[in-house]
Amino acid sequence: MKACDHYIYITVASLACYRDNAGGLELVADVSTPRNVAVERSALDASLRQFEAHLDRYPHDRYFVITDTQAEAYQSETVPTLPPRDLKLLLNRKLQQRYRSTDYRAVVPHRARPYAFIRNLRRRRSRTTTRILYALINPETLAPWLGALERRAFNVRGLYSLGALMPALMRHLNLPAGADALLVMRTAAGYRHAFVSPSGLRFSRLCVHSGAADSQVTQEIDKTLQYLTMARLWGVDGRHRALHIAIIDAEASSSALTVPVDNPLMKQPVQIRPRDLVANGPAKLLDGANSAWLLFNRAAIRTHGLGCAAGLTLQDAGRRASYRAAALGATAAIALASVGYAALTATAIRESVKRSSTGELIAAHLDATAENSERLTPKADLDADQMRAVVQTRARLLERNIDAAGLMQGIAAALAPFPDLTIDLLEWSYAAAAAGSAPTADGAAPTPPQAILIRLGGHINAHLLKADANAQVSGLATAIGLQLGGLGGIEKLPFDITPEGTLTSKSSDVAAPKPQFSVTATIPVGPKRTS
Amino acid sequence: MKSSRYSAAALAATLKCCVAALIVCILLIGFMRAARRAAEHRNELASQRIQVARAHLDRANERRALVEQYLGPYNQLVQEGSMQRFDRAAAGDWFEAAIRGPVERAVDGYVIGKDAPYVGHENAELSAFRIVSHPLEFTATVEDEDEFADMMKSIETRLPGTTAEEACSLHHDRESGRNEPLAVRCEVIWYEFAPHDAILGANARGTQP
Repeated sequence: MKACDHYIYITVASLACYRDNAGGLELVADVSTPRNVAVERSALDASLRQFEAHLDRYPHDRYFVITDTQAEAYQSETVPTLPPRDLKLLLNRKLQQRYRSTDYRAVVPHRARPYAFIRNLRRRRSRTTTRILYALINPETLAPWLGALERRAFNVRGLYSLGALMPALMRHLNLPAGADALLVMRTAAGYRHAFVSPSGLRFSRLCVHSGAADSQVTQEIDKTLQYLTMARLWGVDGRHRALHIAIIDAEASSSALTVPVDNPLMKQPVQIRPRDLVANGPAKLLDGANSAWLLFNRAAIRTHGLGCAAGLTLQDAGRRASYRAAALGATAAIALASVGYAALTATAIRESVKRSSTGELIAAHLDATAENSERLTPKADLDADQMRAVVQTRARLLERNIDAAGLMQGIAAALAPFPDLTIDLLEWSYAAAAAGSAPTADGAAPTPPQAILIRLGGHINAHLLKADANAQVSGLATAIGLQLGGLGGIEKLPFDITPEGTLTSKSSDVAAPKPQFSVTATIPVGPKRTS
Repeated sequence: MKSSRYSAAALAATLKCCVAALIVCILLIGFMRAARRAAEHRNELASQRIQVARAHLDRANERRALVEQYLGPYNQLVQEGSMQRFDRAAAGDWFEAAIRGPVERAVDGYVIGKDAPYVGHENAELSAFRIVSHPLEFTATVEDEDEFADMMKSIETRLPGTTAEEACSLHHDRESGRNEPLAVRCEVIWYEFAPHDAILGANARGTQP
């Protein structure tokens, strides 16, 4: 069975159980209780058995116990403003001092008012805060019911007084912000009065219902107002907050209820039906005499925590329930994440396997293609690289061949402008003797020959001035260089020049017959040697 | 009275179940991680196989392209006698056959020089053979430069194998008379593609037959 919120409403004469089903709040059990427990023991036992039988039907619910009896006490305490932890310790100490006879005690939730700190500073008051302590002062009447819950280790989430929960009704009432309110609500036990200021509940009391009806209601309201004034909770000089009075009762009075008003800030009572507050409320409860169900919800209880059950063994099961929920939730989250991870990983694995299979197929195809290519490759007795090396080596070796015909044509062309020069000797070879034909010491290939050295020897074939003869030889050297794309040089002039720069003979002397000369030319090894 | 699930014992049992579930989750995650790692490993292996196969295919294609490109020229070289072994005994006949073309009996004499291994940039990539150079130095007498050119052309085209004319000297002796022939001295290198275990030969001298 799904766990639901279960509200146990205890009054002096009865114990009612409300369950928050999917369809809404529903009264699921109503047990009458003896007024005098000590005297009517057997009746109490019968009621207790009935209650336990009911509890056994809902072992997994979350239980909220709400009392609505006169056996409760409220006390205002003004304490210094302290850090939250210290304030809590101080208030607990105050609770223990004030209410020694009961363990069911709590502090009414306090709502800090905006700018209260600044206001106190302006008024030069000490930094204090006022808190309301309350307790259920007749624990013997509650013990049997709470014991039944504790014995079963049920998930009890808190124990509260209905009066302490009444400030939650303020959110249903359209009252001006910062106003005080006196809420009067008809319950199974009578009329519950609660005085609520902007900082929270300040006072609450239960007026037992009698047959006096409307007159009793107004009388009790008047009494409460007198108490509030007497206790300086409302109507104090310098505090100018209006007081709104709301009477929540499903059976509204036929005539308007009025209370004596001696303060212009006090408003006349307004009658409100639960139906007006919660239009979509549970149909069976909307028109019932008991309006306490308006407070049987999480929103009303949220700020109260464990209420009067704080620090008691009653809430141990509730704490274990929280641990259980946390453990199960965390485990479920981890399990969900694990399953998600497993699902994603499984998908990734499938994709990876597909890619692997495709890759293996591609590799096999490439292997087959390579083998096919190898099979189709023509057979040769030499490795392909070496075959290429043989062909290229032979081509390079053939390039070493000096084109003799080309050289001679070039030389003949260079010699043409010099008819008086006769060539007797013509030599050519690579400039570096045997360059490239021997390995170097470290085994590396030697530098290939870069130039061809040409040497021409001859004589002057006419009677020329010495200077003209030398000039013609120089011109021949230059012409050969230009013709063959290299650099011509004179090895031997027909008429040598002394170191002093003068001719051995007079420059005007006619040249002797057949003087010898020699010129050289260095031309680069290249594809074209003749122009 | 039924036992509540919020009792201490029930909470302990719940926590045990949670721990067991966590262990199962851890085992599940571990198993899935291992399976994923195995799948990724297989994927990596497949990738490596593709790379190896692609390299294999590239090599095969490259070799095929090389063979298709150079097999023809290589076979042509073989047919032309470029891979012919140098026979010192037959070299004289080759040379004489080459110079017996346009100018009969022009060569006065020749010397086949000592074999020498050739190492140069030309054969830097060649490892299947070593190059042995055989120098052929000859002297000849020709009437003029045109006759010399014809003779060199004949040597270039008729000598088998791979030859290169690398040095020449032409001398016209004007002292002897006005129409003296040209004295020629040339060096032709015959390059042989020889196996690595070939034995080098010594000098050999020959004269015009």
